[in-house]
Amino acid sequence: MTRSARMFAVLAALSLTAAPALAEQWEVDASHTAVIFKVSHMGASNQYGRFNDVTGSLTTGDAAAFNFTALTESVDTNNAKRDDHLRSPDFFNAKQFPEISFSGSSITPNDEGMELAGELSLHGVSQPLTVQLTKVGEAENRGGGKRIGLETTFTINRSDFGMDQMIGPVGDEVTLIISFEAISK
Amino acid sequence: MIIEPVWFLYGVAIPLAIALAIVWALSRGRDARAGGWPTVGWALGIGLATFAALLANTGLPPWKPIESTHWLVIAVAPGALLVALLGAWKKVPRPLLMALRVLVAAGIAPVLLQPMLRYSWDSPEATAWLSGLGLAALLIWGLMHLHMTRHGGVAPLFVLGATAAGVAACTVMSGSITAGQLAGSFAVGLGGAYLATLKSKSLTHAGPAMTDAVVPVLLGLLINSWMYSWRMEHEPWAPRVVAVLFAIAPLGLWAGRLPAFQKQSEARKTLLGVCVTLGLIALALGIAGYEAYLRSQANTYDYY
Repeated sequence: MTRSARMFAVLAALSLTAAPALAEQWEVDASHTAVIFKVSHMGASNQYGRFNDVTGSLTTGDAAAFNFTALTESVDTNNAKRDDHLRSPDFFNAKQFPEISFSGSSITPNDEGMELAGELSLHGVSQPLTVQLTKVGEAENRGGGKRIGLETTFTINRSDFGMDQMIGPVGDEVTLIISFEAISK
Repeated sequence: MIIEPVWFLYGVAIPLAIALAIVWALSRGRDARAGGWPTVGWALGIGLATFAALLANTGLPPWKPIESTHWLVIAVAPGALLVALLGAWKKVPRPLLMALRVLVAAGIAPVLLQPMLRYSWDSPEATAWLSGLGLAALLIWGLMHLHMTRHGGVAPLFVLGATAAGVAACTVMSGSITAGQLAGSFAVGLGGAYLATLKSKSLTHAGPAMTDAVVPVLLGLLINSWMYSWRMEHEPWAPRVVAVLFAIAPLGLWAGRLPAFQKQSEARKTLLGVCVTLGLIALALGIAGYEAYLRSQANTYDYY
């Protein structure tokens, strides 16, 4: 290798290491997403429910950012009357607080997937939250681009978000299981 | 819904006793028409009793209100104090009183309906709703005030208390125990004040301050329950009709003052008015009850 060629190679290597990580934008595929919650009922059983209307996006790289939103009106526990009660001011107060959101700008890749640190806004109260997203797998899209599957399970106390009605009959601790596919844009 | 015996002590009996004691103590032996201490008694008695019932039912709200119900809880005690101060100051300039009433009537809806303004209504819709609700509040308040000023008596307090109890029952039936407890707490406060009036003849002319202390809170509770709690899907018109029925129910008292009943005795006029009010409340509860019945068909969920 000539001297100029060696210099070019070194500069190229330096420029590559100094360059910002390529931003990759991902959009949550709602049709392959589940937001499930579990809460104790009178200490007798665990009741499960889900939010059917979920959107989200994820940007990796230097301009890292994420935003996930679930509509409280879309709560579904397989019982219409209970769903209405959950939408009422006793619980989610869906007309006053139509969205639950988790957003932030800290994405730390790790061996299992990535760690997201941001703010969870629920019932008009925002609290810091860090969750570990575990990578389930990835696939090539039929129309091109990639698809990645991520999943997380974490627990919150609903009273930390001002949802403190009927604690006792309905548990304070709520476990959330979020599983989604994101498609590269 | 789980109701334990101790709840009746903290949520009903103690607040009822607070209202009764304060209203009676501050009004005893004084003519309420002259204003002053009886007016202070009315405002403080109802306000503090409602606050005590709210504490027992829903607990202390956060200092920074999160939801509209918190505004109501937080507003009750200072609102009562304001009315009490105005009552103690016997020569309040009339324009100042009128300006305060207009300000409060116009302010109820914008404060309570912030989420609607943020998420649901565009500008023309918001303007229509807020101006409509503001005018309706002013009209209802004004008519109740006029009835109190002209005819006095304890019937206005009774019909306002009955309407608050009706809103509470309707709200519990139609979706939210918490919002129902708010209206129920207020009804308890009014109940205590009403019992005091039965003990003291001087209170039969409680004065306009009573309407100032009661009507805006009642309208706030009604707007809050209607907009955020009531679920009546089987008949889309039902929530609006029920809300209108509750809003006009206290005005049923005016029915006894119609020209057709001019020759009737005072007691009969009052009785007729109270019956019309109770009829309107019963109709509203009937619609809400029918909706609740339809919802309960083939659904065993029982609010806990």
